[in-house]
Amino acid sequence: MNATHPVALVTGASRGLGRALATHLAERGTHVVLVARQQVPLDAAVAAIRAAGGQAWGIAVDLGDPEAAARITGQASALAGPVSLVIHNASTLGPTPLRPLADTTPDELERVLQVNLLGPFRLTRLLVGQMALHGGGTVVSISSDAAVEAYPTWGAYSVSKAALDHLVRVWAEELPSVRFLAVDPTEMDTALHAAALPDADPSTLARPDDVARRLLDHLDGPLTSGSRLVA
Amino acid sequence: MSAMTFARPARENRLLVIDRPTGSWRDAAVSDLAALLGPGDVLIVNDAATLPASFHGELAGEAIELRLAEAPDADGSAWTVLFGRGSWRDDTDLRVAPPVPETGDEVRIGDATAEVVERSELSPRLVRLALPTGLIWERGVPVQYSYMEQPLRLAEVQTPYAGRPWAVEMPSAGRPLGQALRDRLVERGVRILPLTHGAGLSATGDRALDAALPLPERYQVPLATWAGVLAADRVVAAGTSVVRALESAARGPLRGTTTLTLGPDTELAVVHGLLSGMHEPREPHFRMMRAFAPEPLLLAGHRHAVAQGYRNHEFGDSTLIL
Repeated sequence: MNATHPVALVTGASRGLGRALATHLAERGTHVVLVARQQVPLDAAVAAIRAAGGQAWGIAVDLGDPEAAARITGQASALAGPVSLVIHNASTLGPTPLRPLADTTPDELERVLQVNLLGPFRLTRLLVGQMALHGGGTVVSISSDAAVEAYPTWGAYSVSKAALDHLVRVWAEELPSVRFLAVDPTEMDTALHAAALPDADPSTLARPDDVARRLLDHLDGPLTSGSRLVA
Repeated sequence: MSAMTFARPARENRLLVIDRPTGSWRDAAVSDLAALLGPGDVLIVNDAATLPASFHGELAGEAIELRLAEAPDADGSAWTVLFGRGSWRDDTDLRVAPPVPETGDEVRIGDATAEVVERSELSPRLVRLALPTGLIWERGVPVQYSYMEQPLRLAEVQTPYAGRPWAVEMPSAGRPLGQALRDRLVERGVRILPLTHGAGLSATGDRALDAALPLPERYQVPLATWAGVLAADRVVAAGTSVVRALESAARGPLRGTTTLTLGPDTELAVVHGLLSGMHEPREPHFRMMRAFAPEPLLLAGHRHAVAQGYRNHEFGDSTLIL
């Protein structure tokens, strides 16, 4: 436990944008707690950050599990110290190939909301009380242009992201001492994108590494709480 | 206030206000707290998060329950109280005794084992256990209360501003201090400042151990909080764990492990008022409340609360002594 270093919690951190964010945060001196579902890629991500001289810990849990949030916040605080930055990056598309709402079952929609909306909400509410009491913190929710545009077959995912965007705005109104941001990372070359659009040409997509760097640069700047930006 | 069972509170929590200068008491709601405090008052809260401190295990072939008495050290060891077979539905005082452990014994917890590295002189049921790293987060559940209808989940035993996981039971006096009430208090000019205190077990069912409660507890008072305490007209502690930390800081360092006990003979150095739960006269907490008001006044308030149907326990109503 070292109070002199900022501590960040990044979900969905074993691959893609989450791993890139965790890696760049660690390079910038932040102690990082990585959260992901699968132990093996999570361990690999943590090991790579440590090998590069960074401070990192991994917690393997499913954010769709209502019991997970308090274990994550408690363990993160015990391992690394008070969390001052949380990045809600973990997302599920729901069933793939993507399908129209009429072919989506209520259970499938509920599972997507559990991971993409309730998961971040549960974690945020366990972290912001402490942040407010100790003078602030930042909560970043990774969104999508599907939160704004209505694309056919993206229903479950886009509804979850639209709601997540609105959570950001309401949190910002209610808790002025904590900074809340929604970030659209654009179309990236990730496993999630490949699952949604298998035929896309990867060379036309942004690299998670570049997006992570731009996003963290934004966080260092003056941003109004409740705003939504494109990284 | 009998030990009734109940689910999560549906109605607004009540607040019994005990007024020391006039020796009187009156009924209020917890939401009235903002009107009862004002500029010049600081409300000090314990921001310790609650650990999943209870485990099922096996010792000498017998099923036991283990409850951490403190947050584990960096090396993973912690003083731990052993309970005999039974479940959270059984009253702690009625649980059978566990097998007597010896130093070097191994307690099985799931697939893991934890070694007994020391046995306390207070009671053979209090042992220092070397716990494998991460085990508590994988296998532990919150300490449960036999009066609840459903087992408590870890998120439900956190105060609204919990941070470092130092407490083995919820610092429950702070449970009603949600965002809306804290906002109103701040609008009224009340400063809310944190400290961290590793609140220990409220009961062990072991007479010798219960008599020794509270065990030594770890605390840390931030410098900014201490400055706020010294500058305040009136310091109100949200919970006896806050009193123990602040009064320890007044007598020693701002961080450390305290053995200070609170009771009728305690001369409070910095704390003026107490927000707490409702406590039975036989509970250790009631004795601590006697540092704030004479016993006859507390007993009269308690009789009134019983007659008015106030609810005790961790999820019940509150008392404010000013």
